[in-house]
Amino acid sequence: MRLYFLIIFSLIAALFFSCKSNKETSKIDEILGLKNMSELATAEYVVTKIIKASDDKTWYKVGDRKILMSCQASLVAGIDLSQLNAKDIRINEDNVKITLPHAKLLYLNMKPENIKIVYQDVALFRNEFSAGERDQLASQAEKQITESIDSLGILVTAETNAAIFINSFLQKQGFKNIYIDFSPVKNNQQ
Amino acid sequence: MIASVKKSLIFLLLVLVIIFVLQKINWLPSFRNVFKSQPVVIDKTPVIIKEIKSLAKLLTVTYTDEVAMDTAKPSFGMPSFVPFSGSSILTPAMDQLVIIGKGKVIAGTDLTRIGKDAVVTSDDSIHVILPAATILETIVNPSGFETFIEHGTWSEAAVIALKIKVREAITKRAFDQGILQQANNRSLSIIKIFLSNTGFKKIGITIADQSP
Repeated sequence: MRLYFLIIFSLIAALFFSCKSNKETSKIDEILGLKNMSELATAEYVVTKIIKASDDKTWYKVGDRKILMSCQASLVAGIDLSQLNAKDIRINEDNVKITLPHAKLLYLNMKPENIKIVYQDVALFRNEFSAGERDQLASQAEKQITESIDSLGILVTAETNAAIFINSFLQKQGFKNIYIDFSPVKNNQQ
Repeated sequence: MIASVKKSLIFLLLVLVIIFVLQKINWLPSFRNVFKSQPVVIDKTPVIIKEIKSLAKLLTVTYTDEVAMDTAKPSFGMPSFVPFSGSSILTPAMDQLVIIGKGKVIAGTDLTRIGKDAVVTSDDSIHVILPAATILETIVNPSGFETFIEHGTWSEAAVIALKIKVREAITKRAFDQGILQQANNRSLSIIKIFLSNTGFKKIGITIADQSP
């Protein structure tokens, strides 16, 4: 009798632990509509990337399929002027010292017309990659491009250009000696 | 006989416990995952810089929206009966594509268009003529698209054409919401604060006339 209870309990335990519940964390919907910003975009990088994928990992699907796509994206970086306060600007007659916030990635733009299928190889018993599947692959490329901004150097370029522009703008206002530096604390990239 | 049943049950129990332990340490997929389709992951390929541009664009307003667009075309499938005015009519088979796109429109002012004569200073007074705000970008990235219905085979060109319609619809809605007027107002406000922080007491800012 004890043995039977033990067996039943083990079966129930095995079923319980094998049924993993993958609860997706609910996404907080972004509020749609107009929103104010105060960002100065100072650098744009146009980049290209090859998207290479093979669908051959699912054991019960007969045959493989591969796809090769090319994509082009624009990365725009700049500084957030809302972080510039009065205390960051020090004026002494014709001299001005301004401390700018560090640059961050403002947006990435990957237009659908810039994503092209270069090559596709589909086995006899498989279907071609659908529009939804291609979008998922391109989303992964979008994420990889965003993660590579440090190695691209776009933030350094953006800070250099921001300093050049602000310098020029302050010169037009009549300042003779202009000192520009960046805050010691690095902002979180967007 | 009872002894052999007991032995079989013990063996079965042992097998279940071993499977349970192997699943826990990921040596075996869970029962649910055995027939689960494996996600397709792209290879890590390099990002190549094609062009570098210097900008001076003040981004002042962003408009976020979500739009659904659909298109259909005749296909070679079975025709179907559709209810019409109390009876039914035979309609040809149709392939259908419905895409939902979530994107944003960014408006602002291109400060590189501020001319040399656009900034006039006198002691603690300054007057600036700012260029009118424009739509700088409408962004709908691949992560913003969702293919809601895809019946039939659709060419790459047809899918791209529908996505461009989604983008144009979002841009039009932004215009209808008055994004340019709000962008102009915001640019005025930002530049005024900046000039005030640089020591000017009397600040005059006007927006250049946009009309041709």
